[in-house]
Amino acid sequence: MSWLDSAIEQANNPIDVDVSGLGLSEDIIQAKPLSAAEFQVLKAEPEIARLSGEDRNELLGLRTVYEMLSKCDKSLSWGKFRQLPMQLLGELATRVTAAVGTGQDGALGK
Amino acid sequence: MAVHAFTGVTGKITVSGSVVGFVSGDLSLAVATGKYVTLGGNTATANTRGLKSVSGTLKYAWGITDSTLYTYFNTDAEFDIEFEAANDGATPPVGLHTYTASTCVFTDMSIEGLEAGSEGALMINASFEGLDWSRVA
Repeated sequence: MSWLDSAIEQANNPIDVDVSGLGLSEDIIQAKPLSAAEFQVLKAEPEIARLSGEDRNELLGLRTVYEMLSKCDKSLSWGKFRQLPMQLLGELATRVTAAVGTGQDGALGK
Repeated sequence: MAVHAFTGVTGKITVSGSVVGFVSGDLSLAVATGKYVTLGGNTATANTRGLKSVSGTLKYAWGITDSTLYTYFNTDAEFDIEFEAANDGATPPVGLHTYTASTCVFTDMSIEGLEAGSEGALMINASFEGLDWSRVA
């Protein structure tokens, strides 16, 4: 198995995201990072594709976080996710991207 | 017998849990039905449900190329489609619900807008059939 296979396998493992203090019913939720191919597909999502500039980046960021979470929880829906308050969405996005991308347990970090 | 029809919503295609594209289409759920009858009787006493199947059509696709669709159509590739729509009929009209058709294959397909694939929606006319469905309220 090459380093590439190992990295792909590693990226398929759920990562725990600490959401304590956000007032959710759980302190730990799970997320899986998106692949580069999935991220490119997300850019073509019709609602995102018709936006531009900052609006597009904001929606793409939110959608990316949602997709990372929904890979581990099939009961989530994009429509419900968007009903969360902006402050909570922002904090969730920060914690998910931090856990997935930079921490020792994060796929990108490793 | 079709027990539910659901039209005009945007869905997401996933293969092995990974997002491969977005689609617009409709979904029909069907289940074989039968009846119980008591030995010696000729009037059914209860209904029963048997084999389930899900089918539908796709009209537009985003973020997925015609070659990928062709591969899905031309091989044994199986995929899930998750349709999402507002609870318009609910009181109060809160939240969204999703219907997921799982372990689907394409049964027929035409690709009608190849030139538009890289810029916008790829126009297709594809039918799919799947093994099971689920609904999240």
